[in-house]
Order: sequence, then structure tokens, then C-alpha cells
Amino acid sequence: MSRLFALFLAYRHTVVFVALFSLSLGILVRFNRDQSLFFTRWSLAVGGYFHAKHSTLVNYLSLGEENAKLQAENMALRQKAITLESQLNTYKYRAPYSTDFSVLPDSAFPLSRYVFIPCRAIENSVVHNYNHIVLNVGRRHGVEPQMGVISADGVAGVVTQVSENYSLGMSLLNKNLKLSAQIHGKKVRGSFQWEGGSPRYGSLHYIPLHYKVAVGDTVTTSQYSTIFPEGMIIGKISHINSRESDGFYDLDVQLNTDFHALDFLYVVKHAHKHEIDSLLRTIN
Amino acid sequence: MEQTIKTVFGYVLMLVLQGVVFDRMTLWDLASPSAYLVLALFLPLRLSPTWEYLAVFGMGMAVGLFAKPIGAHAVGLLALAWFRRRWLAVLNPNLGEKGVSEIALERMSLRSWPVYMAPPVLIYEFTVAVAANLSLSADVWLKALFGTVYSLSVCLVISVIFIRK
Repeated sequence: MSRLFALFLAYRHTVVFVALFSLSLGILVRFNRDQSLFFTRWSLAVGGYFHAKHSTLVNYLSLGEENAKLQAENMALRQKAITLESQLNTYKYRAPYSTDFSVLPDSAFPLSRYVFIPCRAIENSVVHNYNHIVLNVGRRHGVEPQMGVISADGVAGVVTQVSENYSLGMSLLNKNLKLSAQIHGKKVRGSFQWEGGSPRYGSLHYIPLHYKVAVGDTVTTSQYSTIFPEGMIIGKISHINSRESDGFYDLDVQLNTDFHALDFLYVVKHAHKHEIDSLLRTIN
Repeated sequence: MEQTIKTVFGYVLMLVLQGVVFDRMTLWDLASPSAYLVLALFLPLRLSPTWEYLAVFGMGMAVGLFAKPIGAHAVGLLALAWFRRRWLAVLNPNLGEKGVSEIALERMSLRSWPVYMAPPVLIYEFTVAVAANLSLSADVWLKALFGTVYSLSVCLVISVIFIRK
């Protein structure tokens, strides 16, 4: 307190000057119409400027919250889109035979069985041959091994290990990961695999040569999978190689997902996966 | 005591003259002379700056009762009072802050008065012109410059007649 008083004493002239100068300006603004209007306009402009800056800052700081909201909304929309697509497909295939859709059982809409769990990639590698993603969701959130991971742009990987709060996944950029894939609109299936090298390109194999394919065709996941819903984009064909000897194409695929900027993701959960897997186990 | 009464009476008279006479001596609609600046310019330097600021604030508010805009003169005078000690320190670099407060302004040579008075008067006129017109246009600069010449001339005449010793 005494130090504060000593400081005031040392600068008392300046303090008095500033106080009187401010008082004079206050009187000038308070008791003169033109000056008052000018000050009001000026303070509005300055206040507006700082308010705009403040809003920008607040918006920026609340981006995380906004992102989470958008992610949740996106998830709901994605779920809805898949359900609608599933219904549309069912109606499309059934329409030539019967128009009585009211008798269709729920099992006629297989795609609606997928549930999406929003998450973020907290670690992600792209420079190795066996790249991995670590997700900020785990067993507690309903994640299990062998669930798919997708981004807003397309397929990102598959969950391999799960702890209580985190999951480890094989990235699509992992040479051990093979996916059943198809060329959109052709219903022809092959096997997609990343073979190392550029993180922008993978390969689609076992597409028979008698199918017509073109650069730019979209490669998606096929229906022969309990990991991904049918139609999740993997990428686009960027180069076509024909292997005449065994009758298949070797197709270079430009990946749709930018693995350098992996952030917001969804874990894809198939509600009946266990049931299907146990059936498949009886065959083996 | 008699001296104090004389000084206070002189100040009041000067402020009344400013309001009644000098504010009406407008030339070419540009400026009227601020003769009362003599009071601020010749406030004794041995006076503490705090008292000096309070005195000029009071003068400025009193003049504001006659000449609009009220408050502008106080702002101008405070700027003048703040500046004049620093200006004197510049003019007398060997004296230092303490030395400046011992300068007897009324005993300065006649030739050094305009040099001492002109910049503080310019600062006052400019501050008041900006506060009154709310602009930094050429018109405001012209009014400030013309006002400085006019006020300085009147102040010099008054100080030579009434203050010089």
C-alpha cells in the first residue's frame, strides 16, 4: 500500500494532468452537441471494430465446440442418408416384382444397421509401410476391433485394438489391409490394397478385363463386408494397366481421403456383425 | 496579501475582458485573439505543476462560459501548461528541471519572449481548433496558424505593457 502511495506521489503531476485532461474532454463531449455526436459516432466505430475482433476471437475459440456439434449433426445426416439409400435400393430392386412395400421386413434394409461413432485422430502416420491411426474413442464408447473408420471424404482404416478410452487402427495406408471394393455403378468387385509409396495412391486388383473401366471411375466399398457399408468412397481410378496374362486389370486408385490432414472421423459399427461372424465361423 | 488580491483581481479582469472584448475582435472570420493566454504563459514556474494544471483548468472552464465550445479551452490550456516547461527545458538545456522552475519569465529579454511564447500558443490554438471543428483539414490548420499569430501579437503587447520588469 505504501509503495502504491509512493508511486502515486512520484507521478502525482502526471496523474493530475491526465485526470484534468480527461475531465476537460469529458466536459467537451458532454456539453457540446457536435462533439457529442462526433464522439458517439467515433465510439460506435471503435466499439464496433473491437466488438467484431472480439466476436472473431470468441468464434475462433469456440470452434472446437462448433466442430463437435457439426460432427454430431453430420453423423445423424450420414446415418439418415444411408438408411434412405438402403430403402431406395430395396424399393428399386423390388418394384418390378411387387409394389406392395408395406409388407417388407426390416431385414430388407441392411444398410440401416450401421451406427457411426464420431471421433478424432490423435495420432496418424503416413510415411511407413504399415501406418496406423490412434482414435480418441475406445471400448467405453462402443468401439470394438474390426470396425471400419471413415472420414468425411471416404474410407480411412480399420480398428485393430481397443483400450477403455482409445483405439488403434490400421490406416488404409497399411500394406496388411485389404478391402473388398467395387467400381461404382458396375457392380464388379475387386480387392483394394495400398502397396506402399505415395500416400495418395492405392491399387485395385482382380477386376476382369471384360469389364469396361475408365480413368475417373469411382472406387467404393462393396456390399461383401461387415466392416464398411456399401458405397463408401475409396478413391478414383487414375491409371489403368491391363494384365493380359491372367485376364485382370491392375488399377491405380487416387485416394479420396487426405491422410496428411486426418482429423474428424467416424468409427462404423455394424449392429449384426457378431451374428454374421459367428455364422461364418461355422463354415471355417 | 495585497499582492495576492491584486493578482486574483488581475486574473478575473483578464478573463472578463477575454469574454467581453477579445472574443469579439474576430478578424476575417478566422480567429479572435486569446489574450488570456498571458495568464497561463506567465504563471510562476516555481508553482508546482499540479497547482499549475488546476489553475489553467479553472481558467479554461471560465473562458468556456463565454466562448464555445465549453471544455475546449481547458484542453488547450492544459496542453499549453504541459508543454511550456518542456519547451523551456529545450531552450535552456543547461538548467535542468529544477533550473527551469527558477526562471523568472517577466525578467527574460524582450527578444526571447516570442521564442518562448510562440510554440505553446500554437499548441493551444491548434488543440482548440481541432476540438472545436473536429477535423484536421487545411481550414483548421489555417485557423490555428492565424489564431497563433493573432493571439501571440496581442499577448506580446499585453505582456510588454503589464508584465515586463
